[in-house]
Amino acid sequence: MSQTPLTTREVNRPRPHDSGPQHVAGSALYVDDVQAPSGTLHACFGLAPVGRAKITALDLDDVHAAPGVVDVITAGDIPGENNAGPVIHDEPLLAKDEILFPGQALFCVLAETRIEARKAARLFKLESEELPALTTVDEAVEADSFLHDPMVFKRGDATAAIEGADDQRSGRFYIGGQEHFYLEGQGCLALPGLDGIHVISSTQHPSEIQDLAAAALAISAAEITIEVRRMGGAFGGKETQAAPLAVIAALGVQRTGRPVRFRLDRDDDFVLTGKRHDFRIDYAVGFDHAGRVTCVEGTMASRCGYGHDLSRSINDRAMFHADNAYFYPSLELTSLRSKTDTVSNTAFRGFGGPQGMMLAERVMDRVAAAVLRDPLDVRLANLYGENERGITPYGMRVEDNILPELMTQLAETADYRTRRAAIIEANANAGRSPIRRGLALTPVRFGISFTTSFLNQAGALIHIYKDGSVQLNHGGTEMGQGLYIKVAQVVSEVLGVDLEQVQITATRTDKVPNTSATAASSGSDLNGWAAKLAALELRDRLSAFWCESQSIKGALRFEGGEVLADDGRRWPFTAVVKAAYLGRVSLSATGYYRTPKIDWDAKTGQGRPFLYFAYGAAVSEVEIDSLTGANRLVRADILHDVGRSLNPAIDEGQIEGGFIQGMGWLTMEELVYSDRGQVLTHAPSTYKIPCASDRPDDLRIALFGQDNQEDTIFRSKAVGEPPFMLAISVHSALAHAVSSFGPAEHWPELHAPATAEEVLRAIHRQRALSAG
Amino acid sequence: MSQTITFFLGGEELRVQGISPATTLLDFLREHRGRTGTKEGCNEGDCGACTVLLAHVEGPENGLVYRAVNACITLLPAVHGHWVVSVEDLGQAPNRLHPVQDAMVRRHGSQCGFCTPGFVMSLAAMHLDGAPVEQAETYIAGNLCRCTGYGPILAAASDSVVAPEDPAFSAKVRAAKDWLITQRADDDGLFYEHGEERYDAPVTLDALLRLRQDHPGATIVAGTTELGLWLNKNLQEFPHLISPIRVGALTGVDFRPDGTLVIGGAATYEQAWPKLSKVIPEGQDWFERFASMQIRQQATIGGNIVNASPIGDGPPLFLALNAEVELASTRGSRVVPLAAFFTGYKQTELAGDEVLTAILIPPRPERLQFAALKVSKRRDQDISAVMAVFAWQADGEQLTAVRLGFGGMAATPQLAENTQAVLEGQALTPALIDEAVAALDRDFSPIDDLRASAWYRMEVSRNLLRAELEQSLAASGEVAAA
Repeated sequence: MSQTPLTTREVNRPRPHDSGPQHVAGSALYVDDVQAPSGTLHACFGLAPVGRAKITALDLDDVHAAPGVVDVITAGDIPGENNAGPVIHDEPLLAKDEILFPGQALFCVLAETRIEARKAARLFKLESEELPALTTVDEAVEADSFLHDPMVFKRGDATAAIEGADDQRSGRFYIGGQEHFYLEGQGCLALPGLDGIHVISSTQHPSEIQDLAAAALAISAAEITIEVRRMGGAFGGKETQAAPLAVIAALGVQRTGRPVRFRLDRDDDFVLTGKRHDFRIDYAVGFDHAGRVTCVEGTMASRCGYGHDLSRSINDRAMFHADNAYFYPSLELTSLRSKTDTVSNTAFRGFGGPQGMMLAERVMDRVAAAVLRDPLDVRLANLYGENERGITPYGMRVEDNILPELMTQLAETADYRTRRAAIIEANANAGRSPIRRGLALTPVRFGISFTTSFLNQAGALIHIYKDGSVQLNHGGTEMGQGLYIKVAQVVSEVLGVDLEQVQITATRTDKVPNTSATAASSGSDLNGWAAKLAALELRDRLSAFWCESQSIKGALRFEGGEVLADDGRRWPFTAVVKAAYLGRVSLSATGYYRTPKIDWDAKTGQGRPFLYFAYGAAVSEVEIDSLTGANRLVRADILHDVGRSLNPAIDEGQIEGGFIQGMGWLTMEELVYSDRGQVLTHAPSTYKIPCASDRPDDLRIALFGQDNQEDTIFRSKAVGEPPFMLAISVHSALAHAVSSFGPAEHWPELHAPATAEEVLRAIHRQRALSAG
Repeated sequence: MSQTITFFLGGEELRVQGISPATTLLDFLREHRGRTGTKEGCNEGDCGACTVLLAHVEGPENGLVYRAVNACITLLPAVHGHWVVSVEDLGQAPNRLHPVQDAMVRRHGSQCGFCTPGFVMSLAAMHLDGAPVEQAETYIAGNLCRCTGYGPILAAASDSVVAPEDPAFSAKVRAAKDWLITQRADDDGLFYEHGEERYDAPVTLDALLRLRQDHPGATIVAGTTELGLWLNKNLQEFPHLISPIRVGALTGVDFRPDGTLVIGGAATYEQAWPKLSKVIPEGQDWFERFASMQIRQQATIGGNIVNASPIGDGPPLFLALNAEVELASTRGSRVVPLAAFFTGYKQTELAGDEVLTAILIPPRPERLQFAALKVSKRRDQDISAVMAVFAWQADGEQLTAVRLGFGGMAATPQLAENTQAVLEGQALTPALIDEAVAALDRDFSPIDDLRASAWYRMEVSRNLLRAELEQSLAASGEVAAA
């Protein structure tokens, strides 16, 4: 294990986002802000107005004849592969013979203006025969409709272990999906370039778009370049979902020779793009009188939609986190991947992990209620520990098990025990007041690495110019998470130059090829290391050259824009660079990083899928009104582990933002579908994400502050996804408040999202237990 | 009479002709002026990414008034005579930022940055209004951020309320104000034509009524908070729009000598509230939750009533207050009780040649007990599952003039007449409360939809009514005991 310097000058400092001044001034350009050349066409999909059906006739005459229309693209017009599916090629860009889900793209119009394209796209005449459609998990499981075989983790004889336990509980609950609601909708601009096609896209995965576009256009990957400078939010929703637009726009360029701009209206974006998988979870738990779990059985059935997309990996991750932080001595966990005739669901912050963790936390709360112990004590008693209690269901040891310390520390700083006692007493004495409170502390243990092992690689490209300025490029994309500034801080640290001297540049497939998606929280882990290696290479070249030319013995230090020798001599960085150029030293370097140690065998379900775990815990206090079920988060205390933070300000922003987004998922964000699978909540007027007044007035966030034990970039930890799951504490606290309306030994089965209506229903169920 | 859309932008007067009057301010800024700092997030006024300020002068002192609005649902002709302030007008990156922008950077208020210009404009409105920091959540209730969790933005709001004026921006204010004062004197309406399309915004009621009579096919549009969606989402075309918003007689809000509050048919919620709140101070929560600042500064009460949506938050309240509406045409005017105005799902009493010119709120009765209770998935800027407004006069235990207005429970905003009859003139007892709550089942059979189930709508209506009646009973008991 290599040692990192104890002190850093640039890394670990709370630098503002590199684009902050441009964001606030409105001068940060997003893809739709880029000035398009004259003659640019605008694209719009024609969307299927019905659910699963056989297409008998599609009359596009009126579309062709509409004002401004230049071209109409149908499935038959695609020269190569009609596919946007990233892994399994089962997602048509445009419907061919069958409509697979409501809102599927049937064709694409190219017109002189955007409004002409939008109007023309509605002028088609469709004749179709309705086919049977499965639209929910319940229906799909009943019909044995699955995308692939179930995945199972087993340890011991679970059924026997549950029967043999002191006590048992079982239940079923539903967890809703979630729309990403990135503020910037999907969009791209495809340009006829001097050497092939150039697409500016709002995507987390430029290389994949390059591959899909090449396959669809029947050209080589080398003939198309994808560029992304920044996204207006993504959250997983632009990992695969940006591809259909970009590929069709590139095809439009190929067909017309003119630039094509394609931006979805928000309502179309809701209908056309995948969301977080909704789940149905069945569980049974055996435990002893002290509340120690002996066995867990769980079946997690998710709605994948009509196609594969990333559903296999997403459901795998639900499995990897169905234990969250707890050791299950015996277990049988099953993952069912339902194929439904609805939009193909996709990546969303947490990637299945949040749904898996909901199982673990529900189990803890039910056990605690059953043995009449404080849920925190039951959680602490079931955490991973030493020896055989340190092995996960997939055989990986939990090495840096910091949760006992982290949770105990948080319970103290948040005054958990005093507040919980006060709330229980106040609820008991509430009398006729409709108001109740609830409090919960839940942990997070999230595995860091792509579970598809080959994706754990990254590249970077750094140029130093003759004037000493540095240009940085890497394969990671910027979606607001602060990746660019973190990687720039790494380069600034290594080269010892001011952060302002490092020019950040857009991610492009012609600079760093074959990149992985910026996903799985891995952006800074992978690209930070790749950039560090490139910067070290350049520093070594400069050092070697300068030591020789100045007859220096020993190593040079690069700090504060200077190059320093041990004998006290110092030179400006710019002077050394200039001399190196004249001395014919290459001032451009690539860096390449691949994550060590990981080794996962999907066939046996055993191995080390993750390099390490990121941890955290949150205490949430909620208030509910039993007249309406209205609920709100009153206070939250968070203690989160980011290793040694690359940038504490950015990390705290990720923690708060993730937590509030998770709260939205579990409380107010409700996707409602018709019985044919049409999403009815297709705009912010009907789909409600948290707004400012939903943030608790009292929100306290602290970083745990221990170095990562693994040799990650400057000992930091990934932060994008893990804080999202801290919000499970909000849901648990709501259930706690509901529990006060009935017998304490019964933990209510609160579904998610716990909207006002769901809370009111849960209160009714809980009251019925007392009445009965 | 201006035939050119004339307004002040970026330090100069713009005179616009040759584009459709259905062009939104957002499209104009982005596509015609290259001002891409203003973003399109939802194109329906719900996310605030397109927030800009419209400024005008009013009052004897020509005071500057700023309104934050959603540019995506503001039609270009509606900014005639205004100063349009977009994010580019505040300050420039990186070194000449406005204090509000600077606070956002220092507090890490932007992550992806896409919502940021909209937040900056809402915070700028707060800064210019001199509003206290406690109102920060109100000012940004119409702005969605998916990245930050809002804490850093609220911190920036705290910083910016105490920030000094920005000298560079103040110079722009002075120039704009001079222009606005000149324009104000000259305003005699806008009559804009583009090909077959027309947009008429007269300044007198007579002219408005004549236009209404002469053009039965035309559409009246005031705040555009509803029509904007028909335009942007349904892609409907409106060849002839008539706007009442420049008619001075329709934007006033005043008490008559007898205490009746007269709200002009084109007055916005924000314009009406200072006086309406004198009648029902208990409605503060209703007002704030009705909609975001951007919507309240654009949406008119008259429009909210004329649209006759079954889920509007205004009509149940005005029903409970026993309001009347004044309908006028060239034939004359008439006053109709609001309860008789709604005739069916999105159907009203308004004749083809009529315009709603005023909402009349009778004086507040003595001993009025009043509550306006909104139930929705989210506290702010959400459409209600149920809107319940309870009004009665309590004389000891006896209730009179009972009016229970509901939204979300039927095809129109509706009074619970059966329930009212159970309570009217009776002394409150626990048994009467049971009877009244049970009577709600005879008034309403709501439906399941994406906001709530029928079961939930009935259950919360019963719960809220019961709680309110029990509170009244307890209060009368306390009075008696005293």
